[in-house]
Formats: sequence, C-alpha cells, structure tokens
Amino acid sequence: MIVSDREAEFREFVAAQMDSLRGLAYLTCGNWQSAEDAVLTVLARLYVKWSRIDNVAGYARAAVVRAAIDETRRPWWRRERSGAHDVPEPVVPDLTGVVHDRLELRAALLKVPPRYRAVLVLRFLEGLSVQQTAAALQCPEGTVKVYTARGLETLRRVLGVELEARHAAV
Amino acid sequence: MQLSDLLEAARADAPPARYDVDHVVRAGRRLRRRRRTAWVAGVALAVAAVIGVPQWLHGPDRRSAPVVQPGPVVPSLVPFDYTFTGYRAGRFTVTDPLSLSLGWMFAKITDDGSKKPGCAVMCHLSIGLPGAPLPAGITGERITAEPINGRPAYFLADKGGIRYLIWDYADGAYAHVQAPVPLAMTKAEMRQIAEGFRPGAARAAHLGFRMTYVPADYRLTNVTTPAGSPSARFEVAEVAEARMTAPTRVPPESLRTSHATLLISVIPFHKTDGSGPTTPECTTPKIDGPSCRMFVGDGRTMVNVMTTDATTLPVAELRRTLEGITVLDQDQPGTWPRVNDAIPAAAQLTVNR
Repeated sequence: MIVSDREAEFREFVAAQMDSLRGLAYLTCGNWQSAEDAVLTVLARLYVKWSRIDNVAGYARAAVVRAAIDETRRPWWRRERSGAHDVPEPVVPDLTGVVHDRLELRAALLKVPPRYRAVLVLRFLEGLSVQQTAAALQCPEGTVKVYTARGLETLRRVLGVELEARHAAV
Repeated sequence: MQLSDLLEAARADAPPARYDVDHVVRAGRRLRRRRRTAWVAGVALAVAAVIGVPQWLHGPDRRSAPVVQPGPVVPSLVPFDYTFTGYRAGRFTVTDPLSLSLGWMFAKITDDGSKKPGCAVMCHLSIGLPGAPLPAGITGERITAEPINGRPAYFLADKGGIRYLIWDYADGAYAHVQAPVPLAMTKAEMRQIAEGFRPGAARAAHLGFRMTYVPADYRLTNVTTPAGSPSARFEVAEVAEARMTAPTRVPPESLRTSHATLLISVIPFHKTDGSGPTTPECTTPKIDGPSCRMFVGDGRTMVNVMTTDATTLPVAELRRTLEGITVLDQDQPGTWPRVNDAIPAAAQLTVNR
C-alpha cells in the first residue's frame, strides 16, 4: 500500500506539473519534441528516486532545464532526425497575425544562447531568485548574474524593444 | 514589454502532448527495473569473480572441455553510403549530403540570398533510406500535391504554414523538403527542389578522422562528413539495434530512458591563439555532461568527446576514446577512409548475409 501511495503522489505531481515542465523545456531547447523527451527522461528518473527528494518541484525544474540544454548542444545534423523532427503545432485557422508574432518571438528567443535562455526562463518565468537559479543550474551566483545580463541584452538587440525585467535582482 | 509576458507568449499554444501520466509512470517503472537488474548483475559478477577466479587459477585443466564451434556466419557491417549528390534547383542549391544516420540522409538547402530571411531560417532535404518509413513525428494537415516525377506527393501544413513537401521517390522510400513557407520559399519552389532530386548509385561516405577505441557496448548510429567539422555519434547497443529493427527506426519507448550517447566532434577554431591543450583535458561541468577535449594540428582544431550520461560512461572511457582518435587532413577529403574503415568494426552494427 505504501508503494501505491507513493505512486499516487507521483501521478498527482506529474499531472499537475507536466505541462509547465514541458513549456519550460521548450523555452530552453526550442523544440517541442526534444522538450517532451527531456521531460519524460527527467520524470522517469524522478519516479525512481521519488521518496528520496525533498523539493521535488525544484528538482524537476532544474533537471528539466539541464536536460533541455543537453538537447540544444546537438546541431540538427548530429541528431537522429527520423526521431527528432519538430512536433507540428495544432492546425487551427488563424487570421490575426498572432501566430506570426509568436513565431518571431520564438525565433528571437532561439538567438539567445541556451544557457542564457535557461537563466532567463528560470528567473523571469519561474520566478526564481539568483540564488535559487544558481542552485537549480548548479553554477555560481555570479554566473547567473552575468548570464541574465547578457541574455537580456541579446533579447533587446534581437527584438529591438526595451524589456522590463520585473523580477527583483537578488 | 514584460519579459515574463514575452516568455509566456512564446510557450503558448503547445501542441498536444505525446506523453501522459501513464507513459511517465511506465517509463519510471522500466527505469527502476533496469537499475535493479544492473545492480543484481553487478553483485552476481562480483560474487562470480570472488568464487570463480580462484577456481580458474587452481582448478582442473580447463583445456580438456571440448568446444563446439558455431557454424560459419558472415556478418557484414551496416554500410554508411550516400545515394545522391547535390544539385541546383532554380535559385536554390541542395548541398551534397552532409549527414547520414541508420534511416535518413540529410542535405542543406541554400538560396541566392534574394529573399529574407530565406533559407537562413531552416531548409533541408531529407532522403529516407529504402524501408525507413516517414517519421511518426511529422504530422499535420495533408494537402494533396501534384505528383513529383509521377509519384504521389503532398504538403504538410501546421498553423505556422507549410512546412514539408513529402513524396515517395521510390517504392517504400520517402523524401521530404522542409522549409517555412512563405518565409523561405514558395510551394512552387518546394516542388522545384523535389523534382530536381535524383537518387544515384551508392557511394561510401568518408570520415575526416579515425578511431581505434570505442567503449564497449556502443554502436555507431550517425555520422556527419563535411570537411572541417566531421562528427560521429554512438548509442548504446540496444538502442542502436532497435533503430534497425523498429518500424520507424526510432527506439521503442521502452528504451527511451537509456539513450546515453557518445559524441565525437572535430571543431575548427579560427580565432584561437593555438595555446589549447594538446593532451586530453577532461571536465565535468556542472551544467553540461562530462567531456574530454584536445587540440591537434596547428592548435586550431579541437577534438571533443562527450557523453550525455556520466553514470553509464566514466570520464576514463572518454579519455581513452579521445586518445585513440587521429584527425586527418581536413583539406584532403580524398584521402579520408570510408566510415566503415574509420571506426572499429566492433563498434558498428552488422547484418547477416
């Protein structure tokens, strides 16, 4: 029964967090299929060590970002393309130009190096502090600050707009 | 503009997930089972070593047992051959194939720069080897197209626009042009590129480095062959073998959590001062996986060996792999060996013939 309870807890966690983790991985690696693979890999590992981790949400976030960064380190021609093509987005009519804007936005994000992007995502989307981000990515706090500044600068340059980094610098 | 809003917008409209909670739980159970099996096997091996080695050293003449030789089996290495060459199609150029996996060949499509962003975005020609079905990941709304060279063809569209023109260029062999339409090209131009494709005779792919050592249980699954930046990718044997037998040449889900890979890359550096390490230097970065690197030649070419999973492949193995690599003259591709000759045979998949 103890195992069942653990599994029930795990299922509840996955059901609640999977979409968020998928989005997090996507923003880091820029590819929905790779993002899903990264999330599946991390969650399978989390299943194995479920009872040994205190902050499972934090662990999952950090592990997913790191796994997604791994995905970005392989250029397209170094991947098994037959298994790694983009997952197409749903086909729905679109007459507003919103999709085009979003594509541009995604293209801009992809111009930010993956590790900078991971820092921006963790800090400004997930709301982590410098200290928490450093812990999540297992790097010094100074590195997080440098990556934040450089990532923001790259985004500003690519998008040609000023960005408000609402999260308080720590 | 708030950065958080921007990030939220960028991840909006996610496609339907391929995995659900049940998938995750099943993958977790499989991983746990494999780890337990590996642990038990390790213990069994250790016990066997403790009990068996003394017996082996002091036991009866072990040569006395007759050995039955198996019948002759003639395995052949899975060939790494290209079956087409680059060509021009209007304002586009399809490069010679650059990369080859167990199921597909890939070439880049470049344009004349007359349209922005054009093919700077992402334009590829992918040619499936006979028997390799269209990857399951390519889905969307099908729009029937006029046949390509008399064979069935269709466009595949998602809400971002046309992404693929797919046709079967031979029985059981698919090909596709991938490009964002209309950002990079028109549908008519996609057709022009597809119609220009002609399969040719198989010619061996050649690799710009040689290897003398590959960790046990790793098999070659992918090479890239451009001069200056060749690379090779190895995967654990069970995954590599699954790629050969699974209908889509994609490892079945049961293996998806053990996809540690070993990547060998030759990377040219044009701005370095040539003072990089000339003997293997290994690191285990906090963010990235472990890797070993070494500069060769004039100190402007780096050889990098990395793995995606430190738990299955220790740094010592990466170092040994790197020490066994010889980078060949990147300006003399005519002198490079065939892929099958450049990689130890034990690290290649075979087929019985």
